[in-house]
Amino acid sequence: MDAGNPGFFLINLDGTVTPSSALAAHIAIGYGSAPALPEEPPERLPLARAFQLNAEQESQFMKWLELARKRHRDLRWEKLAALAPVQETRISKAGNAASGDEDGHVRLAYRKIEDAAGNLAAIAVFTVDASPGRALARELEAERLRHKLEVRDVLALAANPPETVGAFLVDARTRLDAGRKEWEAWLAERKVAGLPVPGAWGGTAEESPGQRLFRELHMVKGNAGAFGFESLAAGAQECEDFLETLKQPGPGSERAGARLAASLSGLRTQLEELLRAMKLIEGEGQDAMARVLKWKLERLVIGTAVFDLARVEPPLRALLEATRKLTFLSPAYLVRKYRNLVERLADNLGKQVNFRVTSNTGDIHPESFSRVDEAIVHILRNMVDHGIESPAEREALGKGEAEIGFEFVAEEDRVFLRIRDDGRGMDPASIADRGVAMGLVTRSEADSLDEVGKLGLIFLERFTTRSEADMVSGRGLGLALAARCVADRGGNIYVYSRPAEGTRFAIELPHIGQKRLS
Amino acid sequence: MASSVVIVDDSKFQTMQLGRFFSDVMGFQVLATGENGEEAVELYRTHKPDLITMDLTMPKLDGRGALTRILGEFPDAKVLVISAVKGPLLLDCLSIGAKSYIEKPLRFDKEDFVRDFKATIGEILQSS
Repeated sequence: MDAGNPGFFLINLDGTVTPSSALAAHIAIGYGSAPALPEEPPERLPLARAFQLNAEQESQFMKWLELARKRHRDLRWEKLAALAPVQETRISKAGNAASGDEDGHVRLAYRKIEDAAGNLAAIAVFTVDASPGRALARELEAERLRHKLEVRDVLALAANPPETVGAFLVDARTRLDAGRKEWEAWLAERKVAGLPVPGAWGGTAEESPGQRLFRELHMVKGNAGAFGFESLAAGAQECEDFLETLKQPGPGSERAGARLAASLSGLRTQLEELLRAMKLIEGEGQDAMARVLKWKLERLVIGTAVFDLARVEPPLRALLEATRKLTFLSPAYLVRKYRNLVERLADNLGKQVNFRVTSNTGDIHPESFSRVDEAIVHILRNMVDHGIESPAEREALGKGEAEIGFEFVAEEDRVFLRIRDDGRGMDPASIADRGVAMGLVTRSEADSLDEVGKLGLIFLERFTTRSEADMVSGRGLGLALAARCVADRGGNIYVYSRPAEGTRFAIELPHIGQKRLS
Repeated sequence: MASSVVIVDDSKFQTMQLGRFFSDVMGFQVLATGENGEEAVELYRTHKPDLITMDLTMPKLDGRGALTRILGEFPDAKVLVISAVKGPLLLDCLSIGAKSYIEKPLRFDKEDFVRDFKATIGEILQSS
C-alpha cells in the first residue's frame, strides 16, 4: 500500500482513495464524531493501486462498496465493515526500503461517513500498526517450536536407559566425525588437484567418502528417530538431502556444498548439546559408577566361563549362575527402544501397530543383538512404512490390528532374531520383475532364483519400490545397509514373505558371551 | 405474541443448537426446521415465519438459491444467513436481500457472540 502515511485515509465510493497527506490540509479528525467530508479532495489514487489488488480482488472490493452504500442504514456498520475484503495489508516502511526491514502489517478499521442527507459519502480508513503483534506472534511460535523440540529431547533422554542413550550419542558423534573427516579430506584432495569441488560421488566399487558419509548420516538419522531425538533426526535428514543434491554436481553445487558443511557442523553441535543435557539429567558421577560396576560384573562373568561348572560345588555354582545372570536383561527391556521406534513411526503414518516380544531363553545377554542395531532399525522402518497397511486397508481385508513380533531364539552356538509383521507381504515374482526392471539382475538370473532368492533381491543396494525418498525409509538403502551390517558381524539375514500374509526377517548371529549353563 | 422462526441447516446438531437458543434465550416459537434449500422454500411457504435462518452451503438447493426463491415469492421475507462462508457469496446474498448474517462457528458459550446474535435479531425484527 502506498497511500501515503499510515494513520488515516479515505475510500471514495467511486473506487478511489484519497491519501491522508492530501486530506491533512482539509480536515481534522475527531474520534467522537464522523469527520466532515472535504468538498474537493485534491488527489485521488485508484483503489487497486492503493491496496495492490488484482482484478478479481478489485471487483470484490467494488461489490463491497456497493453493498455498503445500499445497506449502511439497515445493516449494522460493524457487520458491514467485517465483510470488507481487505482487513489487513502490508505497508512498506517509507525510507527503510533499502535497509532490508520487513514490510509492516497494518490492520484496517473502516468507518462510514454520511452526507447531510444520510447517504453514504465515503469510508474513512484508520490503520493500526499490527507489526509488533505479528513479530511477537512469530517469535512466540519459534520459541514454542524450540521448546517443543527441547521437551522431546528431554523426554527421549528420560525415556531411554542412560547407558544406551549415551552409547548412541557417542556412537553418532564418532560416525559423524569419521564420515566428515573422510569427506573433507576428499574435498581437499580435489581442490589441490584442481578438480571441481565438490565433485560427483558414488558409483564406485569401493565405498566412496560420499557414500560413507551418507551411510553414517542415514544411521544417525535412524537411531535418532528410534530414541525420539526428532531435531537430531531432522538435522541428519537435512545433511542427507544436501549430500544427495551433490551427487550430480550442477550450477548450485558450490552453495549446496557450503550448506552441507554448515548443516554437518550444526548436527555436531546438536550432538554435543544432547550429551551435555544427558550429563545434566543423569549426572556424571553416576555414569562413572555404572561403568565401573559393569566392568566388574564382566570380569566376574568371564570367571564363570573359566570354571567347569559341572564340577563346582552346588552352592558356588548357584552363586556363579546368579552372577552371570546379573548382566542379562529381559528381552522386553532390550527392545524398549525398538518399541518406541515402531510406535512413533506408526503414529506419524497414521497406523496402529501392536508390538510383541517373545524369547525362548528368558533373559538374554544385552549385547546379543545390539551389534546389529542398525539392521534392526532399518527392518522396522521398512515394515512400518511399507509392510503394514493403513487401518482402513486392514479393516477392508478383515485383518484387525497390525502386529510386529520380535522373537529371540538362543541356540548352543548361535542366536536368532526373528522380526515378523502381518502386513501386505511381498510377491517374489514382482520383486524379481522389479529387480530386472532396475537393472540389478538379468532376466535369466532372476528366473533361476527360488522364492527366497527372489525376495533376497530387496537386500541389494538401490533396490527400491518407490520413486520418491521419504523421511521414514529414505532412498531404498535401508535394507541394503541392514544386510551389510549383519554380514559385517559375521551373521546372515533372511527374508520370507507371503503376499497378504506378512513378512518375516531372520537374523542369525554367532553366539556371544557364554554357553548356557544348564 | 412470540415471534416465530424456521431454522434451516444441513447439520442436525447446529439446527438443534439454534433451536434451543431461539426458544430458550430469545423466546421464539420454533415452527419448523429443515435440512436443505428446497425445504427452506417449502417451510417458508407453509409457515410464513417472522424470521428464517439458513446456512449457505446446503444440499439440493443452496442457501443463495433458496434466498432468491423466497424473496421472489415473498419480498418482505426476513432471512438471516448463518454461515461460515464470508467471501463473495455472502456479499452476494446480502445484496440480494438477506437481512443480515451471523458468522459460524456458533459460539453460544461466548458472551460477545450471544450479544451480537441478539442485537442482529433485534435489528432484523425492527426493520420494515
